Amino acid sequence: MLFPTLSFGIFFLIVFAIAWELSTWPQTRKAFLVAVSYVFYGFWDWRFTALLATSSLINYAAGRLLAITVSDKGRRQIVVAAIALNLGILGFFKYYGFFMESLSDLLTRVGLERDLPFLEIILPIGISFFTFHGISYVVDVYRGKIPAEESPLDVFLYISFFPQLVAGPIVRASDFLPQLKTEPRLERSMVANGIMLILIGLFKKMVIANYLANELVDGVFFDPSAFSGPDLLLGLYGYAVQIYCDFSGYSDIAIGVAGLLGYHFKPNFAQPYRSASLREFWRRWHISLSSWLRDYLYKPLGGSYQGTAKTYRNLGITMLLGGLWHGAAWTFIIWGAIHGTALVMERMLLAFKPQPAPALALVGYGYGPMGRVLAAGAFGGQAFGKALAVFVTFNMVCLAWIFFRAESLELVMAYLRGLADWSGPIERVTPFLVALVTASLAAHFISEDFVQRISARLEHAGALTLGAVLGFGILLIFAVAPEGVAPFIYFHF
Amino acid sequence: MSFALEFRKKHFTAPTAKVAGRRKRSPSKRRKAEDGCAETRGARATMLGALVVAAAILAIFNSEGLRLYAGDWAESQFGRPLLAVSEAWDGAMQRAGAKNVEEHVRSFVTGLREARWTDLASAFWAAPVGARTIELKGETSTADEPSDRYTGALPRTAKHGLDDGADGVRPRFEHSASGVR
Repeated sequence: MLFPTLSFGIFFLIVFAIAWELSTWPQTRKAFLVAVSYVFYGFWDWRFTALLATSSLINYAAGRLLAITVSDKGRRQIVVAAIALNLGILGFFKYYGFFMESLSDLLTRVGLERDLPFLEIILPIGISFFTFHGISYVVDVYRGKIPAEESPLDVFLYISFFPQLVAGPIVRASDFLPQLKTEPRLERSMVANGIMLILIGLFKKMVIANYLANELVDGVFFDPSAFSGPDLLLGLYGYAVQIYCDFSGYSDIAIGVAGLLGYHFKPNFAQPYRSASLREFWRRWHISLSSWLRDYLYKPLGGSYQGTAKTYRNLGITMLLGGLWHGAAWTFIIWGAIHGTALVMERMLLAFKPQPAPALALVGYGYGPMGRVLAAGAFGGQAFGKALAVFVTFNMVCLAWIFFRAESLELVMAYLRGLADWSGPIERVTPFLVALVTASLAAHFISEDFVQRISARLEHAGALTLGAVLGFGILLIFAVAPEGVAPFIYFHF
Repeated sequence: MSFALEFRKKHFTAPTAKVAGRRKRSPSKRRKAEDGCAETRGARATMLGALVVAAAILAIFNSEGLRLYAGDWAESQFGRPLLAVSEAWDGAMQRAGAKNVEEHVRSFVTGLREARWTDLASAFWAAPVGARTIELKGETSTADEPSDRYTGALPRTAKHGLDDGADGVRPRFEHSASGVR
């Protein structure tokens, strides 16, 4: 069941009405939310609901075992076993084919060709996300951040809660489970914010992402050799915007829907293309994944506390595995490696960069005319430096997106060659697409609390006004958007 | 303190004060909880009302979506009557003119999508472009004119998005939103 469909609209209307009727019976409400989450998941393929239940059961059992085990060694063994089981399930469904193919290629190259047990495995939707939720729960219990849940219902709801089930955001057990202990509350601000987030998310996905996919990105990435440099450049920037709008649109809707059911999720994106460094980019892009990788992978590896060389190694490993998490293909691994290498280089450069002198260091000139001119000059220089850093970071990220989007390494090479060739006819650089890409990128530079400010204005509106905003908003989005509903990009991960 | 006074304080005065204190605190707590519940109830009613209003707006102005959705269920026993009802509803909305809103928006967006740089140029430099268009109407194409693959996404020459004909390339307006050809 996709968010931007009538099926989901009807589903949500029913869930919203019943869930709030059950708010005085917390256990029944949780059981109801678990049931509807399984219905939501079963809409794609009901057979995988068993997998979801198995994953939840494993993590619940691991939590209970951790609660009754006293020795450190025993607890460590339990957490290692639970993580191995979680990753084993993920590895089998997601990476089995990739490893078999890679192994077959390797054996052929060294002259040891063998018939390997290839299997046709369907990738269960959202498996990467619910696996990470499971690991988050077990590790948080192990670290003592949260107590092990006695009720399986809470663990099942945490792992399968439908707004975040198939494409995140990756909600932490320590953030979500305590919310299940208190009576859910709905405030008018949550209603206004939820409606705004749903509308913004729908607009990002249905209008911006779908137009860019249909009219620009899919074509240029399918056969880059058929297009000229300007088309490919716009296609690349278009993909940067498409993937942002697609994924952040999904996250916005998920956060809005969860909020309307009384649960708070943290933001998953914060205008990532305004970042002036890759480090900042990863603090703004897919925040729930990057912070998950930081807390459950980078820090356990040693983080930045074991010297410079080990910090670089840890960064490289984290980004490489982050790339592999996105998909079982060499292109994703290279994408992760590019980000890892660039982050290491950025750290190296920052280590040697002298600290900039603040504008007020020009105290010798006081606040007189000369001081003001110099301060303005320093400020202008800083602003230019920042703009340049944003431009370089954005293009660096875009370069890596080629590996992320292209189906194969041959297509990556064709794309890179095509970017340098500006001799052919220009076909895709239309005013509409240029405006779409430019406006979407410009939106990264508006105030970060823009949505909150609009929501605040709607906070005291009545049902009629809010309904009109929601109804006409959806109507306008459906009228403007291209026909059909394309699946979200992150469903594949 | 005498034994009598101590006994009185322990068994009569202190418990009464305790109960009074408890009574004093509990109403504010309860009031808070009640306020929270009332706010939740109010917000829930508002949201439910908003969802119903939004559903009504969509049913009126996007009746085609309802018909298409019912079409997906046409195979089932429950779906057949639903399809008949939704088709009748869609027809009624068509007659009432409610569907026009969406159609107007769609045609406006289609115009934007199909606009080319030449159209944009003509919007900014209306007079010279219009004059030039009329002038060029009767011309025949030259042999070295580019093939139809060129969609006019970008003007071949930068000047106002129009070519002056010196290199044999004529301006094309195939996709002009304003209807100029």
